Amino acid sequence: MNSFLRHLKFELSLAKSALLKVPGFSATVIATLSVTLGALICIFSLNHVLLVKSLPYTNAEQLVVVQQSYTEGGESWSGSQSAPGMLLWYKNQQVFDEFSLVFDHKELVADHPDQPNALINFVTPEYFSLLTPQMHLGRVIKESEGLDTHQAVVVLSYQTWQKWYQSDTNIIGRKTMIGHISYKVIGVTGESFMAPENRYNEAPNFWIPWDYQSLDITHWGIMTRALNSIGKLKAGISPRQASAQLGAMLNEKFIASDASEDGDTAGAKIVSLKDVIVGDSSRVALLLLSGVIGLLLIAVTNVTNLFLSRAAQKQRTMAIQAALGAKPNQLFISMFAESLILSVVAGALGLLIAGWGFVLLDELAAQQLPRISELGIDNTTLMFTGFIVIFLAGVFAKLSSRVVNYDALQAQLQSSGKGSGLQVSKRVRHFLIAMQVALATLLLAGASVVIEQALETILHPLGFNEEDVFYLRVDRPKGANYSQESLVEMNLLTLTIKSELEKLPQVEKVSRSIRPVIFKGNNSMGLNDRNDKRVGSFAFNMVDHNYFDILELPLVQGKTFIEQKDPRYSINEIILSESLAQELAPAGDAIGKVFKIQPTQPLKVIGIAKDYYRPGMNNEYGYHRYYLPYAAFEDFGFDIKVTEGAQLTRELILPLLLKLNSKLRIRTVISHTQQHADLIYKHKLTAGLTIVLGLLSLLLAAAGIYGVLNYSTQMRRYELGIHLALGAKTHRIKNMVMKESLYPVLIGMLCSAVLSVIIFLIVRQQLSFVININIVGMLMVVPIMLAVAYIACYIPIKAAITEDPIKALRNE
Amino acid sequence: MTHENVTPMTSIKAEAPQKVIIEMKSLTKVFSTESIETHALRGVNLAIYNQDYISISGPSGCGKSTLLSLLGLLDTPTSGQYFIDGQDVSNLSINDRAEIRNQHIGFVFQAFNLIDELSVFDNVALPLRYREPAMLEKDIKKEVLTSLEKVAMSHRCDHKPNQLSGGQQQRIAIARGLVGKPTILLVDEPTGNLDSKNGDAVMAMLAKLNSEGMTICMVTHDPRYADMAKRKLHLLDGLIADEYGTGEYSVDALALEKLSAQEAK
Repeated sequence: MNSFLRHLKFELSLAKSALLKVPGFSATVIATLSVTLGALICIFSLNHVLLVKSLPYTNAEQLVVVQQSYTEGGESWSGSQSAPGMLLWYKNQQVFDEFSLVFDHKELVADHPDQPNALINFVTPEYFSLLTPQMHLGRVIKESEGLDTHQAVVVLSYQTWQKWYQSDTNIIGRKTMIGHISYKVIGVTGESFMAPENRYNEAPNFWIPWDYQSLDITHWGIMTRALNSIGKLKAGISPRQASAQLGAMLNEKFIASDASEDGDTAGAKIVSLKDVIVGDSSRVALLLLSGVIGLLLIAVTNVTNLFLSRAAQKQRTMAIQAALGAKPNQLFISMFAESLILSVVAGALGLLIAGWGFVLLDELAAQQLPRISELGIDNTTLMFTGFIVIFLAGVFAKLSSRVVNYDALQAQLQSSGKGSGLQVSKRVRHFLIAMQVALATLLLAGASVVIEQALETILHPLGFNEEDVFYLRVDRPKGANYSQESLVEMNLLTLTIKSELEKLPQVEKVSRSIRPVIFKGNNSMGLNDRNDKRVGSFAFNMVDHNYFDILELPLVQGKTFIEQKDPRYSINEIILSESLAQELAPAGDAIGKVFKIQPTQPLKVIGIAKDYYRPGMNNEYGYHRYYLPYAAFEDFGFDIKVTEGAQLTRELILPLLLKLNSKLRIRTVISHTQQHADLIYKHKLTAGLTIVLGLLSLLLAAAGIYGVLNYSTQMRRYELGIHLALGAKTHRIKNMVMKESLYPVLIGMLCSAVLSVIIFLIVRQQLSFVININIVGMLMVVPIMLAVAYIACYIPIKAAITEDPIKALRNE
Repeated sequence: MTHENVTPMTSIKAEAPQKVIIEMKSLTKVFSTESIETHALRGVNLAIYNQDYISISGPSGCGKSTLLSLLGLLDTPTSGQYFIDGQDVSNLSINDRAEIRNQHIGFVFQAFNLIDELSVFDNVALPLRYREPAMLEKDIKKEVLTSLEKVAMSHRCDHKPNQLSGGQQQRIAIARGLVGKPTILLVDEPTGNLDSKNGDAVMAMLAKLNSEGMTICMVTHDPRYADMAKRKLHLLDGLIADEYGTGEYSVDALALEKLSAQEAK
């Protein structure tokens, strides 16, 4: 071992000076490998964090989540919970050592000058004993601040404390106004504490005792994904036993409630906390990994080609070494030394690129993928990088030393140089080219599908007017509830706000609606027919008579809602989207039909609105929606049409609102154009990154094909020199060699076509959504790949046939 | 200085070589392609004695280089037997042949075949670095310096080959051939890439080495240099057509001395 290391040390110093003499080769290998390793390390880390790494909590593997599952009208679903059901478990469960409720909700930080929108976790005290965070300042929520104690205290996250409270070390004991309530700050979590991911995939800013959540804790029919739990099962209780006990408990109360009908049932499902957090993201991560492995294969093929050329260059040196008694394994070490130096440099640069990749992922995908904040250069990443670097160095050295014909090396020592100690067979060369082309074409075909899907979302017309329309969302004032009186009062307030907004000089028209026309996420509500039979659950909005006019969303049949001047609302009409009307009344007789959202509330269809497109919802269900007359059930929302080019700002509107009610606060003011831009941002990014990836694989493939053919032409240089010396015209030789060179290119393309079909069939079974394949788009890849391959083939041939034949014959 | 001007300054009476260190029996080598078989060697019988100095000459294509390649275990014979120090090395594995080359054979090539990336010291040290078990660095250093001193090049240790003249490079190549204390030094057209002055000096050096006990086998086209060997083999169509020896040889001590003095400057 000692002698091996000493020999390796010697070879490393030899390799170092040799590589400095071939900067082009060294730079190409390092550039190719570093970019590829950067991407690989980044995606490996993502997969490691999502699929392997434990959550950063003590006893992380024992932490579970209990979800409610329901069967209503023959349909089963889970993931949304009712507050009464969760409270039932919290108070009565016997299966957990500790069990905590968690409710995610967003509120404004009212006493901050910018009134930022904060994510709050309303929790019971067990949350902290289960997750055991280290505290930077103060303490966590105590047992004495548990359920029904109404202690207005708050724990800040370290990042929130830094960002919004200027790292005030005297913060403990001070008060802060969140929403409409003033809370006493009792603690700041440690910097490293990462709360479990929530539906927003955002880190919570505050933890507040459960008592201050705004859920309806009495109605079994209101379900939300924002309500969750964390628990640790008692020793000896299996998840199956716990599910059975909790399910039975829930079912008993649920079927006795108003929300259930005959045949409806409820149950419980225990899922590990890690599985809940990771969810479907593991599939995305694995898809990304497969893409990066494809890229790696192309890069490895390329670099192998470059090393083969390098071995050809080195054959004289290797011949001398062999003549002096170097054994094949010692020649391998000689090749290994070079590949190791290059791989290590590429690995170091790859780590740097991966570091940027982590920042990029955090910026771009934190909303879509969980645990992104945990990505970083850690021991696992370093070990993986070390392993892959040594592995790749070994692969390159092995492949290039394998093609060295040890016995034929001696011919190199003859001064004529006619012999060659390096013999890569034609079959191997053709295989390398075909593999290169097959992988690159496959990646390009995949990229074309991704780009096309992204472009479809980016360029799809919305079907409504987004220009000069803003959406204003205002928090419901403190004390508003869902009683009849309160709703009438709130309706009156929205009418007043609307009327005040219309007085602004830049405002042309205002409509009330409970949510923006397009937004991230989904809100749907069940719809029954007149016989109270469920017809489905669809996206919905509550709007007033101006809504369709402002958005220039035409009604294809019927009419809009009447103008409500009386704040006493009445909901007895419904407008359907065109596609939903087609679904519910295929005969085209939807107008006049009656549907219900509650048994006592018949809704008569009075109009059919044209469909509009929601970016990202590319299936038919994206167009299914219905509209109800406006009522102030949720925060207040307004669609505001302004004069051309005018802007609406928080500063402009807030004084106007405060004049009406000092408790009013603005949550959002955003133009529909901006909202649209935000929604398609991810798709633009996907298209951009995919184009870069596609170009990269195209360039890599071109470099690889060039590498093999350049080597191949070098091998035939003597022969080509003879052809030229005998009077062959250059175009004749070019055609002869090009024909041979393009043959493996065509084979590669054929292989990629077969592989594409196989992968498509596999992926189609794995994915829950439909992939639309545009054959024309995919076929576009063929001429691009052919053009690139043609150029890569032509360059080395041109160099060989335009030189003086004597040079080839003399091996100069 | 031309060939004609070489003047023997010292004559040394060689002792009669006794011990056979290399023996070839009916050695043949056939190069085959799909349609043609070329018989490069047709049954060579050769014995090389300790402290021999053999020159091999003959017209192009007579098999000189093939014979040297077989002698150096750079190639395998088609048939026949080959012994080094009594050990049959005709059909050894690649690794075993490499080891024999490393332990028993020193090479000097027409084109020097030094590695440009390595210093003079490292070029000379190369055969020792392939020794198994590995030699200690201090031992390698000692051997390399001794070997370089023999060719009067120890002052050029840190230079790279491309900083040296052709004659100097060939002397470095000789030092490399000697460093492993081989049984035999195989020399392939050692003056082919040199002018006559450097050629003479290299030949003088080889003669001196032989006089000090090194066994040498040299391929050369030059009849005057061939004449400097103790035994002269003439190859024709793959066979040893003629063998004759003088029993005496000359060392151009003056040429060697002059060249060493120039290099020292």
